[in-house]
Amino acid sequence: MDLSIQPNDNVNHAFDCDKPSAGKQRELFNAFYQKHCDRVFGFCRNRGISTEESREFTQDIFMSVYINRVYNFPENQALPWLFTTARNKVISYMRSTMIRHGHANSVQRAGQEWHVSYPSPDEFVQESDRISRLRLVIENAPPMVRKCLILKYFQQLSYDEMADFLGLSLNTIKTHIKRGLQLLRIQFRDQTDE
Amino acid sequence: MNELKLHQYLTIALQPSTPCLSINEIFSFFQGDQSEIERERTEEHLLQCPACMDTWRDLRLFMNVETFAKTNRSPKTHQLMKYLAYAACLIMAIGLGAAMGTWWLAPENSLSYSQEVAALVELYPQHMTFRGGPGQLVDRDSIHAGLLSVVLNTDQELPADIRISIENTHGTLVHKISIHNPTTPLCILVPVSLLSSNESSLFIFIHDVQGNLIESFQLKTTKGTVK
Repeated sequence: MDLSIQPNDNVNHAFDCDKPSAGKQRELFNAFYQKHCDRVFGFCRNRGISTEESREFTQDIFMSVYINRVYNFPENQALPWLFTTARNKVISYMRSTMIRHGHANSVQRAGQEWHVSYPSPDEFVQESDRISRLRLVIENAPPMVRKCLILKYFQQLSYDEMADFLGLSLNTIKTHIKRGLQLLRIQFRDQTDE
Repeated sequence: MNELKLHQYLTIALQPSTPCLSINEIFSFFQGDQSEIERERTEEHLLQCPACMDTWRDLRLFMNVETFAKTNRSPKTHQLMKYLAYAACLIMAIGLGAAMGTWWLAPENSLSYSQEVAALVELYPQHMTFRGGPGQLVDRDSIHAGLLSVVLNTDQELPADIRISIENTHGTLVHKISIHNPTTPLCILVPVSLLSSNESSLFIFIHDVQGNLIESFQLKTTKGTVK
C-alpha cells in the first residue's frame, strides 16, 4: 500500500484552501467596485472627459481590476494601482485626442516658433545675475516661506492645493506668500520697474 | 518682475537633484504613512519636480471623493436642480398661503369661546336705532384678555356663509371673519391688539360670499388706551 503523498496533489490542495470561492470573489469585487467606482469616474470627469466616455473608462478599468484580481490586494497597493491605471487611461485618451484634433494647429505653431528672440550677451549676464540672486533669496528664506513661494510661483498650485500639501490653513499660506514677496521686493528693489 | 518671469527664473533656479518618486512613495506621502525623514525627502523632491507634483495633484484629485459630486452634475442636472428648487419654493409658498388663509378665515380664531372675555358689547344696525342707537360706547379700560366680545343683532335673513369684516375709522380692514351657518344674534370676538391706540370707533360689515353687503354696524369707544 502506497502511503506517499503526490507533490502535485499537495500543492493543489493547499491552493484550494487559500483560494476563495467564486461567490466570495464576486462579493469582494462588488465591494471594491462600490467603494471606488465614484472615485475613478469622478477623476475621469475632472480631467475633462465626457460623462459617457468616463463611464466607459470606469468600466474598462474595473474590467482590468477583475482580470488582475486587484480587489484582493491590500488597500495601500490597490489604490495606487487603480490610480495609475486611471491616470494612464486618461493621459492616453488625451494624447490621442490631441493628435486627432491638434495636428493642424501644431503645424501652424511650429512655423511661428522659428522666430524666437535670443538675449544679447549683456542681457544674458543680467538674467543670470537675477537668477542667482533669486536662488539666494529662496534658499535663505524661512522654510515655510520658501515652500510657499515655490509651490505658488513655480509649481503653480492653487491655495487649496497648497493647504493640502503643507497641512496649513489658507490664511497662514497667504501670510507666508506675502512675506516671501516682501523679501523678493527688497532684493529686487532696483528692478521694480520691470 | 511679474509672475511669469518669476516662474521662468524659478524653473531655471530649481532643478530636482534626486531621482523621481514612485507612485507608491507619492501615495504614502499623501496618506501620511512616511517617517519624518522620508517625508522631508519626498516633500523636497515634490517642491522641485513638476512631473512628480503633477502626479501628486492627480492623486489628490483621485483620492478626493467629493470631486465626483461636483463633476457628476451635468448642466442638465443643474437645470433640473434649479427647477426642483423653484418647485419646492412654490409648494412652500402655496402651503404657507394655505396655512395663513386657513388661520385667517377660520371662524374658530375669532369665535373663540374664551371665558376670560370681560367686555361684552351689543350692537344694532342703523335701521334698528330704536333699540339702542347706532353704536355702543365701550370703555377700553374694561377690556381684558385682549378680546372684545361683540354681539351683532340683525333682522336680516343671513345666508349659509357670511363674511364679517372690521374696519377702522380710516376705512382700513383690520380683521376678517368667516362664519358658516350663522345664527342671530351673532357673537364675534375682536382682538383689540389689531386696533391702534388712538382708534375711536370701528365699523363692522356683514357680507355674503359674493361680497354683497347685508348689514353694517358701528362701535364707539370712549377712552384712547387699549390694553
